[in-house]
Amino acid sequence: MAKKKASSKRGITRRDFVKIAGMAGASVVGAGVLGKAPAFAQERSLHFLLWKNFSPPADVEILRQGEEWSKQSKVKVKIEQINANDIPARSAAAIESKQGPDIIQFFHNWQNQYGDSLVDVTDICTALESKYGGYIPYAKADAMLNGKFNAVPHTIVPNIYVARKSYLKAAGTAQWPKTWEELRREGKKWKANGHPIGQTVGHTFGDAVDFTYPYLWSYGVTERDEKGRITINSKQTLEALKFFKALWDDAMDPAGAGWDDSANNRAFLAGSVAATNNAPSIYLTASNQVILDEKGEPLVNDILHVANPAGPAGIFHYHYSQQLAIPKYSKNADIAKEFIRWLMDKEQFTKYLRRGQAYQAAALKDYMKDAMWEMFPALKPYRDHLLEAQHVGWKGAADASAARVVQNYVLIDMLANVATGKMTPDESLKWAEGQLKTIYGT
Amino acid sequence: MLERPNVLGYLLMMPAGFIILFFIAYPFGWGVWMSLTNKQIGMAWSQVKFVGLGNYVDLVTKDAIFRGTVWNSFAYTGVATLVKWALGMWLAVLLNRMVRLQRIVRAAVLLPWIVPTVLSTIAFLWIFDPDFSVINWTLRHFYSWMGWGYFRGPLWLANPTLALASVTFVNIWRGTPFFAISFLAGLQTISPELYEAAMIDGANGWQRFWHVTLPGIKPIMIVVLVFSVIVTFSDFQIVYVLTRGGPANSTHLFATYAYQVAMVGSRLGLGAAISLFMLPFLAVVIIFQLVYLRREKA
Repeated sequence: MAKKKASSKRGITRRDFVKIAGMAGASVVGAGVLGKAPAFAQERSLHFLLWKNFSPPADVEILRQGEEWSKQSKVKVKIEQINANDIPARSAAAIESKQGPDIIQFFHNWQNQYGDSLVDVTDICTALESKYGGYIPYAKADAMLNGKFNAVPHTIVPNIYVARKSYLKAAGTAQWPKTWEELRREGKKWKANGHPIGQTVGHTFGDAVDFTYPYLWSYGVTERDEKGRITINSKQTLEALKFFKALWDDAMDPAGAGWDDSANNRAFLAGSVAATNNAPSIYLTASNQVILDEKGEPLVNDILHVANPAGPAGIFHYHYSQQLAIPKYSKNADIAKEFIRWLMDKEQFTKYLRRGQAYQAAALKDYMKDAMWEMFPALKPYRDHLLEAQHVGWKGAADASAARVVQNYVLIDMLANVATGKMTPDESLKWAEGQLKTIYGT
Repeated sequence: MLERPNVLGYLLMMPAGFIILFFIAYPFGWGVWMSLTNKQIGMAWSQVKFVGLGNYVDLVTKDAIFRGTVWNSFAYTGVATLVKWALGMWLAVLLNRMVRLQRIVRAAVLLPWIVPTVLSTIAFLWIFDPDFSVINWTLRHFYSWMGWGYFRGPLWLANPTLALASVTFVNIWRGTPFFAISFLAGLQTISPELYEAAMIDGANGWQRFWHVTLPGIKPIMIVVLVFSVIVTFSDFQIVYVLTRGGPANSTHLFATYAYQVAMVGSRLGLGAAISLFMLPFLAVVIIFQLVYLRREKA
């Protein structure tokens, strides 16, 4: 009794505690079993995940379009933007846990890794194809798996060379090099003047791929042939690697081995490099922020947009495609499809591309004739070289394994191994072949 | 029945037990199972095949990146832990002697450990930039001032060896305060009389450190070292922000490579196997700690 009194003085007995805890637990369980979500939670909503664009006005426009469609459809649209390098992990977590965004923007052919987990959007794509002159072939290949579209081809981020006219002229370069050999010869002069070529071979989603794939293709190097056999172990690959080492040492900025996608933009705008393979973002930043060169003149007047040099097998480019996919777990697949149809309608899509200042091209061929290219004439070379590209994994299919080769930076690291002196060209070739065999399971 | 201490004791332990079961044991068991399969992201479980130790064998025999990752992880953990231990000890001894501004200095020392890792590592991304780095800017101006000509400075994150050294440095910078403050707590439990007695016996500074300080803080030192080894060995954020495992896979640690293979490359089974390769080493470290602590108690 005395004990009980003492504990009562402290406020609560063990018995009281157990009773209270039991009641609290029962009420939580009861609410879960019997209760229903409140009515306001039943309002339909759409969650759209995409990247933070290198052209900020495009972000403003997509957010505006989300709000506009939201008002029209009475569906709440949540647009979430993250760093492109973080999209793969975010989408992987969503697909595996079967919850997350209703629409996900994928790059290259990333989504083909999750082919079975995505809604078939062939109906939307075939309608768009017939209405807007068909898709640019590699964008279509990147969005298809086993004869079906698992994502809607949306935009393409084109990549060609961006160069400083004055730096080239100062080194005595009269015209942009037509071959890699010429680029090495001229680049050597630029580097001697303190302005090398800036090129990343680091672990990053865009620029590293945009250079590596077309460079290797231009030497006749492919990871697989049409029948899916691994073809990397060839004398063309060895030649490409040996030449790349010479190009890197003679003409390129060694810092590029550690760069991400934004580093070459900064280096170019700061006057550290003479040329770099890039999307239109350098030009747009120089233009929008009115960046001045060393003489106090607008830097945009000193920028040249030119094609990739040719290798023994010709000129190649790589422009990465971006497509919109709807995961099968989405309970809003029907409205997600409606939203994508609306976004892809000419009225909205034209505004999106134009507000983006031609940073992205459309995956649909008709838009190559759009007046946008006249609004930004300096960027027309991007349009002119838009069709000179292939899909990832070419000459094989743009399948899940081809996506994994990109995601694991296999071909990029094959170049980085020789650039950094970590491996000889022979060793790097064997290393890459081993990686490809593991990924392709052969 | 609830009044019986043993029944109530078990009852009160149940929430913690459930947490351990569902948030530690279950994911761990799931991870072990996944590492024995060819599970990929989005793959239906009906398609998943049991591959036994296939993933582990493939990693060891076929994957050169994995072999590099093992080396990187041990080098990173070994160097970082040793330097953090030495610097932490030095800092703790200094702080222990400090009389003025004690609180402010101690709070300031803790800052690198308190600031979110991603945030401070983003600052290092700038510090290690080849062109805009404060270190390289200083070196460039110093070279110019000395009349030695143009010097661009080291390529901190572009050179494979320097990149590994750079990520290790950031780990040391971040982890040293934890060592220092923990060691300081240990130092303050040592009676000053022991030092006085040692001095009377003619012990010099090094002898006092070796025979009084070190034994005095040994228990706390073991715990801190073990904890640091575990955290450093499974580090992710610093490498992910600075290099993503590059250049040419020179800075991958178990966690970053597992993340790349599993989350980015969607091969969950293989990624789980990479993660679980950490287990034997960490188990040895933990067993060592448990045995030591039990012996100390006895």
